[in-house]
Amino acid sequence: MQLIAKYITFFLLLSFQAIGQNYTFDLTTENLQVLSYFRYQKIEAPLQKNVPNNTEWKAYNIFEHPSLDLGSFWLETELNIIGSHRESDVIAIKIDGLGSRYQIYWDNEVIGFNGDIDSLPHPDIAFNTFYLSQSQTSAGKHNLRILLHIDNPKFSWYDNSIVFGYYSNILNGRDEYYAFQLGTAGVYITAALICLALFWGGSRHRGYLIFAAISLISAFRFLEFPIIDYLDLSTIIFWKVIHLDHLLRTVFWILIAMFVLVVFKIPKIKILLPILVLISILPHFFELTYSYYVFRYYFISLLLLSGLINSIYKHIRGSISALIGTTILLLPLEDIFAGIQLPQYVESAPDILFVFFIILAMSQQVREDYRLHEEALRITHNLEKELLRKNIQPHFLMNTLQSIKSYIREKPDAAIEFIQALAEEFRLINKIALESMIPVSTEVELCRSHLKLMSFRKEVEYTLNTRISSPEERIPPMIFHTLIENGLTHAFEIGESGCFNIEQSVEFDVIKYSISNNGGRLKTLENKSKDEIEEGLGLKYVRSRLEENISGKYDFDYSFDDTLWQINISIKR
Amino acid sequence: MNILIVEDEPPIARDIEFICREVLKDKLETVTLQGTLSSAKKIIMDHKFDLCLLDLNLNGENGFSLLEDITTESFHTVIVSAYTEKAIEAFEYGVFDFIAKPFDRPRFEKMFNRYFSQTGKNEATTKYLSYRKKNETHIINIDEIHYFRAADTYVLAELKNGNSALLNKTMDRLEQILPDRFLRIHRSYIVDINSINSFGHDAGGKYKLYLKDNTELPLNRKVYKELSSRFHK
Repeated sequence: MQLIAKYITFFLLLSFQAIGQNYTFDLTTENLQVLSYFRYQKIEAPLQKNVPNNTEWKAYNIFEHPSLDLGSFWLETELNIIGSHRESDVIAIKIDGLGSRYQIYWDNEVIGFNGDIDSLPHPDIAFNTFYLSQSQTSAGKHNLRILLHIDNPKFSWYDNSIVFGYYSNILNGRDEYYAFQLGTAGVYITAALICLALFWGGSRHRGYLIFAAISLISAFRFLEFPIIDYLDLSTIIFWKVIHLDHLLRTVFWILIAMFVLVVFKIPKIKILLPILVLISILPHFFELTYSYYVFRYYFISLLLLSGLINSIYKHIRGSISALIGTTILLLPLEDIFAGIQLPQYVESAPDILFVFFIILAMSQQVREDYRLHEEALRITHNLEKELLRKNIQPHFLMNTLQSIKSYIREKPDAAIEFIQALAEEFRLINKIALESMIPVSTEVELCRSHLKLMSFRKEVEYTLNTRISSPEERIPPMIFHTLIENGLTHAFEIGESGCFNIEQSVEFDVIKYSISNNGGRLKTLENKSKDEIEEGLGLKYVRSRLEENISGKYDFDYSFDDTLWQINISIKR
Repeated sequence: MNILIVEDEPPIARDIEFICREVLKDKLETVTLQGTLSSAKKIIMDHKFDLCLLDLNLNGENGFSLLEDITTESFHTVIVSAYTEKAIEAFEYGVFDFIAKPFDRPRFEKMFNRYFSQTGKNEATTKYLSYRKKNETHIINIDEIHYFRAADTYVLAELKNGNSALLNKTMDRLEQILPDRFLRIHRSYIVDINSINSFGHDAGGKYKLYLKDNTELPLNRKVYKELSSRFHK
């Protein structure tokens, strides 16, 4: 990527007539000249008395990472000034970055400094502007030299920039820069507020909360420099600004990754997220090279883009918009256009587009969630009708009545008991059918009466063992009943008596239920896959009933093997 | 008469048996009760049955896959089920009757009367016939059938695509479950009226029937007269 950036920069700079280390500045234009190509040579102490040796220059581009080691250097470039000065304006050199101590020489004369070049670590100032009088910048060739003492290994990380031009134009440039910074920050703040409002007031979509955090962090990143300037903190030492910016950037990328992983249901999220966090925060604890940051950038990009492509492949709503937004944000504009002063709106555009595409993606997801919710409601509604009818509908009732007819002929006394069990089951179902949650004790009662009735019908003995410590805990109705019906259908041989167990255990705020039986027909079920059994209406009902009433607060799994049919349901209080 | 009852609820199975004994009296030779289709299938291999009374919902087994299976057998199948909404579909698979639960004795009497009356053509709505080939059950839509031809005690269904399928039913039993438009033109032939082209008799006085694809089939004299009055009015 850097190589490409270098070439692009090279060709673009050709047209800027700024090849090599010599620049031409026309006093009659309003342009600001970006100075990026210098010559450099490494020097030994004592620094002040050291004069550059004209034979030892090497080429240096300040946009390039990383090319200078620790130590002291001379940087030099030449400016050919043409035209004449306009009135009441001075020329200035604005230096951002170069996070080290330095002294500026203009035509061999010191015009300014940053920190004390001779003393050991001394605060370096993040942004400096040095002025040149009209007489100092008369038409002709001039020499700009910077004596640089790098004592911080992170020197080359910051986007250094040296700009030359009329002071008023530098100020205008800064104002324009701040205007766009503030504007973009405003977009992010608005996005954050909207997301927070949507989260608190609407669906509690986790994506909203994460994106609100992303937006706030971004807003703050855009406000950093305007705030520093507004509060007149320009003497704030360089490394504090850089550290803050790096930290915000790290948090920003972690949040973006979290957002994509969570919202677009990327698989293996529990493994990926900690790895990502670790990789991201590592440089905040250890001194790592610049290439680590490059690696981090590629790692995060690869993770996000491949995750989103995977989501598109899996038809997760909004993933196309998210991919577009994230790709725009990930484009390394600074590298691609290194050395070129881009118009401010170009620098703000990726962020604004990113916000737009992510909000678009989230609204697509919300619409999808809404559709799924409607669908779930509809299914439950149908299932409920189906289930209600299951006991009042012909086949259950008719079969039961047919069986009762036989009992009346053969064993009239048992028939009376049988009818009583049928009546009991109806009474309980009518009582709970319209409730959304019922005490577990009522559900157990229903199961017991169902098993009694089915014992009559199948002429076997089905028993129910229960271990319930908190009978008043609530569950959606007819869940256990449905599971027991399911078990009766699949787990027992004709004429086989059997036993069901319903157990409840309370662990902190989680109530665990297990429903099991030991039916002899399970052996023959062995070759049927779990999925095949899952297809049944019964398990679907249980799942959608749990989903509808206590969405997100339950766990539901089951296992069937040749000895045990068991269903586990955990419900958070 | 040998009856097979496939029912997973013993009280109901005994009730069916009780009613069968009451209605059939001496005509009933044996009654076999089975609770699952797999055990029923084993019994079918070793015993000859004349009628199978089948519950559609056997302990979680899919009623229709077993219906496709059981209708390949030579005997008639009568569904005894509470799933009345499945009756129409059951008839399409060529069941002889569908008795809804809870049932009573008159309903069984009606079914047995029709079973024993040879001429008693009903409003059969059979759409599919199943047959067994290489131990697999196949389904044919009866619209694909050109005509039926007796082959020993079985029936060969000649299909419009030139293939044929061997059905494990007698001509008499097949006739009972076929819709009205299928006509028994001869002791050994049943044709779809819609595929008849012409009929008549040759110089030797033999009655012949020609299908639209010029297949020539023998025609029973009685049926010839019936057809003549029907088509030449």
